[in-house]
Amino acid sequence: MSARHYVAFSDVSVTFGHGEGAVRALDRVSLGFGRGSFVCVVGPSGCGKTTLLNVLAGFQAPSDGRVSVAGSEVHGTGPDRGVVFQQAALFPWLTVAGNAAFGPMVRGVGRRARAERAEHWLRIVGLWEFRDRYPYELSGGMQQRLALARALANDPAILLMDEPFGALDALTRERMQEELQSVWRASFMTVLFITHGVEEAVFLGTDVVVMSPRPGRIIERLASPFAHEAGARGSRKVKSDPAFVALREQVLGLILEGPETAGQ
Amino acid sequence: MAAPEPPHLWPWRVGTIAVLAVAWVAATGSGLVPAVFLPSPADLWDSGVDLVTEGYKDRPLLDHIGFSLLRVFAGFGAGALLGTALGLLMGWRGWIDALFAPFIEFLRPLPQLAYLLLLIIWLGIGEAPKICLLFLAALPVAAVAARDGVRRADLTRLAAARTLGASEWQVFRHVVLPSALPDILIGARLALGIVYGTLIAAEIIAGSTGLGWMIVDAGRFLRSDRVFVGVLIIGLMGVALDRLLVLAEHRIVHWAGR
Ligand SMILES: Nc1ncnc2c1ncn2[C@@H]1O[C@H](COP(=O)(O)OP(=O)(O)O)[C@@H](O)[C@H]1O
Ligand SMILES: [Mg+2]
Repeated sequence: MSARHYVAFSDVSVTFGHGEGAVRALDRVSLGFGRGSFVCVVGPSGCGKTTLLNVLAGFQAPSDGRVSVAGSEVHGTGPDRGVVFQQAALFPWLTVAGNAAFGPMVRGVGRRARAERAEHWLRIVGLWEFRDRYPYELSGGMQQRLALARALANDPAILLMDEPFGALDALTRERMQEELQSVWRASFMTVLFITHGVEEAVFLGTDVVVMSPRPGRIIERLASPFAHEAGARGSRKVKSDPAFVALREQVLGLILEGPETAGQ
Repeated sequence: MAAPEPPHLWPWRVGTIAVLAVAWVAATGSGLVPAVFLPSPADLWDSGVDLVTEGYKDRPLLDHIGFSLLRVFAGFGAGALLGTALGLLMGWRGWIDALFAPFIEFLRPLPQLAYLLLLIIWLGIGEAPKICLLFLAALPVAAVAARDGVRRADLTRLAAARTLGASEWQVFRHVVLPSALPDILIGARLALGIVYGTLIAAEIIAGSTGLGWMIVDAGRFLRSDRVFVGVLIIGLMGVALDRLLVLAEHRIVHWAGR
């Protein structure tokens, strides 16, 4: 689980608080995945999904164990790991273009070059014509697309997303899933995607990791073939495929009943 | 930021002013109220024209207005600027807050007249105690507003900036500062109001210049017509200054509350 994986969680534990009131958000979690994987983490709320992402993002130091990327241990945040939060957390005092160029700007990329990079990603997420607007003039889905463009403009090796489409309506969410997938397919990015939507996880991920709460543990990890197929077949076709439905039901069973009963 | 007033409310505003004007004309015209208490509109107009053309006590009216404005801008400018800088630091680092909060919190609710006498003892009776008084009135208000603004900065936005590669200074410069800007401007508006209110007290300190001094001096000679003109000028200037700040607020922090 260590050096051979691009991203490796090795026996990672996170405990909040002390004594009686202590919460074991992660309990000796080990998880490794290769470059270019799209790892979806599902589980009931409170099972430690956000904590898992925070540890890799560098917001949260593990109480125990270690997390490494490409062999070197994670200490604090870094622009190699871009994050998209559930609330877009855009900068309302900057225009759409200013938001997209924020990462390159603080990293000292020249004016011309960062404008080009912002344009590239704004075109891809379909916001180029809104470049001079402000975030509060955008709809929820557009704001989340901008948050994605802002993260991608930094060229991160790893993209971390914490229920990024949770607040969107079903139609917008579906479109965003397809967009994200095509961006990922065209890149070498490794994605860690947190969701409580089982269908979303099975559709998007190359790997689906199922967690259970109290204490936060990984109870199962399944490979999903659909992330590579969706582009060619269209998402509606994939989602009604019997193999897809079976995998979805298996994951749902794991979440509802735990690893003992499911899959028998 | 409040929504703009719907146009159909304007008649109400004009209405109250009209009613007041009619009552004024009636009260003074009927001779019910002596001119010392309330000058008639005609007296007030003459007095105003006289002040504008002849000035007050050897000085043109514009000089008095200029002196008052200079004091307001010097005291408010220095107090708001320093207060905002201090407040930003206080909000950003707990230990700086611990260092200055006792003084700021003591000074803020203190009535300015309470320390006016000390300032005279320390600084004499020139411009220094006047501007210092206004400075001390503005400083704590601006500091507290800026500190609260920093504390209200959205944590997810700070986290987002860090993951995008911003250094601590860049987070401060590009996220904390703009996040606090709406509060800073609200603080500036509050501070300007307080400074303006303190102006008369500042100009009572000896001297023979300024609108505040003019009002107090005219009052001493029971020239209520001149007191009224002075009050009108101060009042209208206050409204104008406040409007100017509101305008700046809408332009600068267009995103506030959205
Ligand atoms: N900063 C914190 N302080 C104390 N407890 C926390 C903190 N963050 C998370 N927890 C607790 O840790 C557990 C896992 O939380 P989280 O990772 O947010 O779960 P999820 O994202 O799966 O809903 C929950 O019981 C939560 O209450
Ligand atoms: Mg969560």
